[in-house]
Amino acid sequence: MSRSRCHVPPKPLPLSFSRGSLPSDGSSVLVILFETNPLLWSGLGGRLDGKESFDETLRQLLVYMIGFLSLHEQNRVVIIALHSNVEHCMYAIPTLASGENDLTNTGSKSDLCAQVISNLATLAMRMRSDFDLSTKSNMPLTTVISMALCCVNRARVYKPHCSPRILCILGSQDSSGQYFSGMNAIFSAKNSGVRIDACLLGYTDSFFLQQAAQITGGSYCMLQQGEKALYYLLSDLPGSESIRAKLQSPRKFCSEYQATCFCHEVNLQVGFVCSVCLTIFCERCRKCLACFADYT
Amino acid sequence: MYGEPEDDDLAAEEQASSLRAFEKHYQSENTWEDLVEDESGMLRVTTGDKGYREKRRKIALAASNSHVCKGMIRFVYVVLDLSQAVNEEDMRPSRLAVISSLMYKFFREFFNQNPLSQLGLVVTRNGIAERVTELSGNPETHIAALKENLDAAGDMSIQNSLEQVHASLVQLPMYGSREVLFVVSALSTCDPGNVHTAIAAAKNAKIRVSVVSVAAEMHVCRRMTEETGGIFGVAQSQHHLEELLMAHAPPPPLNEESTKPSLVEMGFPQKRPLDKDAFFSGRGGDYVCPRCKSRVEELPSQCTVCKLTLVSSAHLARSYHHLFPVPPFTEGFGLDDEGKRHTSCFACYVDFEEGNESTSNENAPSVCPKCKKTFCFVCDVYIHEKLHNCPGCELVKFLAEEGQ
Repeated sequence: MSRSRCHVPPKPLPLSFSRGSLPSDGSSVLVILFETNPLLWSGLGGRLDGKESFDETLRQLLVYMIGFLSLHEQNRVVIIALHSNVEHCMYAIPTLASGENDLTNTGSKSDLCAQVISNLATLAMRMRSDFDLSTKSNMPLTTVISMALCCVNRARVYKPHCSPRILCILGSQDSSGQYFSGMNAIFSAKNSGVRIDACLLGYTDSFFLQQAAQITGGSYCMLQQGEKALYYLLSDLPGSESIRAKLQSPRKFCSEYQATCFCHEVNLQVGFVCSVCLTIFCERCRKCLACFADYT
Repeated sequence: MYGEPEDDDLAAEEQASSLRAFEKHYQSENTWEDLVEDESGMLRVTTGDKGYREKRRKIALAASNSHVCKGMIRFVYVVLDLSQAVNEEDMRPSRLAVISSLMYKFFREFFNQNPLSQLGLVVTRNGIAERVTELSGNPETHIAALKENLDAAGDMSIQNSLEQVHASLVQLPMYGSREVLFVVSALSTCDPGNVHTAIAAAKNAKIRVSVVSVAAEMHVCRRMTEETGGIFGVAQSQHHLEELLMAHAPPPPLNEESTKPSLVEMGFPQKRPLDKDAFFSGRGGDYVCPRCKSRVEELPSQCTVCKLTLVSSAHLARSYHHLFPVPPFTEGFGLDDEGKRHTSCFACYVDFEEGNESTSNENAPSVCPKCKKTFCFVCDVYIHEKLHNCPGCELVKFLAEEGQ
């Protein structure tokens, strides 16, 4: 039942949203997490075989973004550069803060590209000073996903009816230390109705992102040829929600919910869980090794 | 007779009835709360809005309980009073419509917060208590069962309800906390014997009884919660009723006496979807129980054949934030390496307005005590209420791990 609300005083905007059950007006907010790790793109990490060129992939990503912005006048994009030290390399195109930033005409779109490129140039300059080959190939993915979710939440304060999406384009490996907080972030995304799409560069699957895509109802694909990034992006990750509902995206999930025990770090299928601190053990013991609860 | 009200409809109703116009006027008259003492001892009037202070207070309260051990595995029975009294229309359109729609919300929130817990539903009417659903782990089955059982009649019976849930809860293992949540509308109870013996029995079985009353305080309810260590609350408005109910969704402090820590055997099933053209009879499902190889439809649940608790490690991970919550942020700016103030929020990159330190607007900055990053108020609330991850602390943790 819809009701005219002209007489109702404007409701103060809620500061956070519980579920993604708000009716969408067709617009969306897209947060792109793009890996800029030099170790990955130079091929030194052994993940990419050098065929993918950073420039070409970035160029195609920008085309995708412009395509996305053209779909709806209220669409907004945020790009976060995913780097081994995230501290100085976040690039939010400030379309969210002002709320009413107009990106519909072509002039602003080229501005957008110019801004992304100039920001990347700044990042490259900074990196030159502290780049060394010992840079790890792991990425603080949890941090960046948490930040992306905060961006989405901020966007919803201004535009409560947009449907939000996070697109991860990266090629680095999962790091096991981030598992719990990462899962926590994924479930928060699910509860806020945020879809996480993952685009893997290279040939190795990311178990973490597979779960992220599966739990939040997003897509997961691999960009094996950087030259065709745009093709993959457009066909596997269509921008509009209404199109996505009609297309069957090529999902490839092999979700193995592997649990590892605390005591021997063995993968197991049946384990014993401490009722106090939820630590997993592979055999019965008298005392919890994590929280020292006494079972006797 | 009582159709499920539309969400939109309810929201409008709630907005209209939560506070009367004259009350609203006085509500905002709490002028003393707008006064803040600054560093030099001068009183300063902030233009702070109520929502802001309310949220700050909530976060601080949640944090003050964070060191307490939580009962992560809960067995909860919800006893819903469906006596004649729920047909009262003091809440629009009726108490029943309001309560039922809040119950649906509560079930979902409960399993969201406690993926390892189980919940059952008992309704009481015509002087008897009826178990509608057994303890189980899926909110949708409870919601479906409640939708079919929404006809109200006769009187509520506290004794019958308590005996009903006692019979079920007393068989359960001691590692889980046993709880009962009464949602009461009636002002009387119709019992076959002495209700106090039932309360004493519940107390002996270490069952924690809580009551949310829609109408008024009843002595027997108050007594019951005090005896068993539960919480008693009377709703003043629809909004308050929702708050009282939702307060029961997060895990309660662990009662050391009533629960005994133990190791719980759990299975972590693999997903093995059936081939499309496979011939299969019996209960289907994508997950395979690791002990008896029978199929299960969803996680978390219990294997229907061997009764093994089946979870995924993701569900365990989801429960961890109750054990390790994000510390509350302190108001103010954080400083960067050069001793300058942070100019924008670490998480959403909104710029803080220059020279604006008032605690009123949504861009009010706050600092994480652990990682010293600055966040805006919108992110602060989101991080504590929904996300349960501090992006700054995650980064610090990551860099520490990488450095090793």
